[in-house]
Amino acid sequence: MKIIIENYSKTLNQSEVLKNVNLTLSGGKIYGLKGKNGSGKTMLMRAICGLIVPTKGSVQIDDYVLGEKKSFPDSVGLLLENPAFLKNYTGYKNLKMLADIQKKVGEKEVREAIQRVGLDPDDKRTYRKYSLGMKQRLGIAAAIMEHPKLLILDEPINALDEAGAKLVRDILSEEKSRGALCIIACHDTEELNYLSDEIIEISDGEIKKTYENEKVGLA
Amino acid sequence: MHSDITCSRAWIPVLSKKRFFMNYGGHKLMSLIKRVNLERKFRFILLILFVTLSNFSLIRITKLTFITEKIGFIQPGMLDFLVNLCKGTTEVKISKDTFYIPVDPGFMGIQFLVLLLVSDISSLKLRGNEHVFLKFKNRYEWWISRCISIIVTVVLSYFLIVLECLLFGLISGGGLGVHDAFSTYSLGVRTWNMHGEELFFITVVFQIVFAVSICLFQNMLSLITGPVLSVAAVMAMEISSVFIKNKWLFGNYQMLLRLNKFVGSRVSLSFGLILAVVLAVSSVFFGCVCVRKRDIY
Repeated sequence: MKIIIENYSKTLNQSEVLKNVNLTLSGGKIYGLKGKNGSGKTMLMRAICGLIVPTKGSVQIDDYVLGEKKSFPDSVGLLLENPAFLKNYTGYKNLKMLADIQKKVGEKEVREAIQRVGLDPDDKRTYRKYSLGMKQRLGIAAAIMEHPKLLILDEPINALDEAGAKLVRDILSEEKSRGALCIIACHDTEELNYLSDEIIEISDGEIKKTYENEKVGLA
Repeated sequence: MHSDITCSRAWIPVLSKKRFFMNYGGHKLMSLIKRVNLERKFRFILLILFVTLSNFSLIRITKLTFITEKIGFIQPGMLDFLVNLCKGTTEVKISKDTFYIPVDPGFMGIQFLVLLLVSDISSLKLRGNEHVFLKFKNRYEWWISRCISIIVTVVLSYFLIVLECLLFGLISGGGLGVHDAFSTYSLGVRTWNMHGEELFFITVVFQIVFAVSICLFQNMLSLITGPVLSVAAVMAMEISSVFIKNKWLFGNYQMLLRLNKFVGSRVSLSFGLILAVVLAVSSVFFGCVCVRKRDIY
């Protein structure tokens, strides 16, 4: 998978949230977005998913440009801010219902995804009764269950304990070795340095620096 | 043997139709409908409770002395219950120049609850639940699926209303039909010159058409203004149509007491139907335009 972002700008309420972004991202790598709050990390993630419409520029994924024939990437797993699930249903039912939309994966894969994030697919508790960490884990499970070619995780270790953070590292490592293109944003610089192959520094909607991470923690 | 072959051949078109439906995004649509209606199960329960209360109040009316004196003791039938739910309200003359319009809680309640069933799809699907959005190939597919899910939800809610009226008609002993004397004296709707089928069409099928077009309009509006404002705007339109008799205000066509089928020199049902179809089609079309440029964040 290859993503080419060309001259991408986005203006919201007369303020430019993304300024002339140019990036080329390839599969089998983990890209880390670094920047302070409001710098445009999440907006860039939304732009790559096609959730926001550019004021100028384009996002090309493999052989198609978003917004032309297709509005969204063919295969994408996403965790943005607070994942919204149906509160009165169990984690398994929530994920099964999402999987049923495209029918790419079945019951077995949904159960595997839940187990992979350390949750129990047979847990009878509804989403409403989940702790913050469990909600985050379910959000990650929803993002990875269809084995997407593009995986976007915004603050994946938020609300997770040490074991949860290790789990995210393992998942990212597996997804990378599978050939997926992973994009993560994280406030913890140390964690971001550990996870990412390439760091993209973003400030005020502009890409300031892109550099290969020298000390790659993940295999 | 011969009959077996004929039988299996007869199934071929049905199966291929199903496969065609599933291949072209049918499962996405079915899944969205299921999801939307599961999210709204408590609102469906609210609607059922409301219809139950309304039907009970109609049974109580029959026990009022002045009606029984005039028409004898009649239990309302299914169509009487349906007429009661959508009869609406019209002005009551006190003297030559003064009149007042009583508010009909039944009509307003049904309109509000049906609207509530489809109202917050935008907030759930556009804010936060990107998972659902991204499962569709493009924005148009999502919007069209959403429109169809709205239609299904409205039809389902009216199906429940009819089912409940049917049960009330059967349990109370009033049967399925309409009792002209009862509807005229206790509900104020003259049904003398109308067949049961025609009345069923007006109280159910036409009501569904109007409700669908209003709900589609509200959903299109929610893409621009957000769900809360759009519901407020549509409810304001419905409430004002109770007090203002104007052919451009939609609620007028949903109240039987305002239709020229029942009372002369009132709003025309056929014009209302044309208006409903135009509103529904233009809402779907403008929704497509809005959703193409809409940012999801």
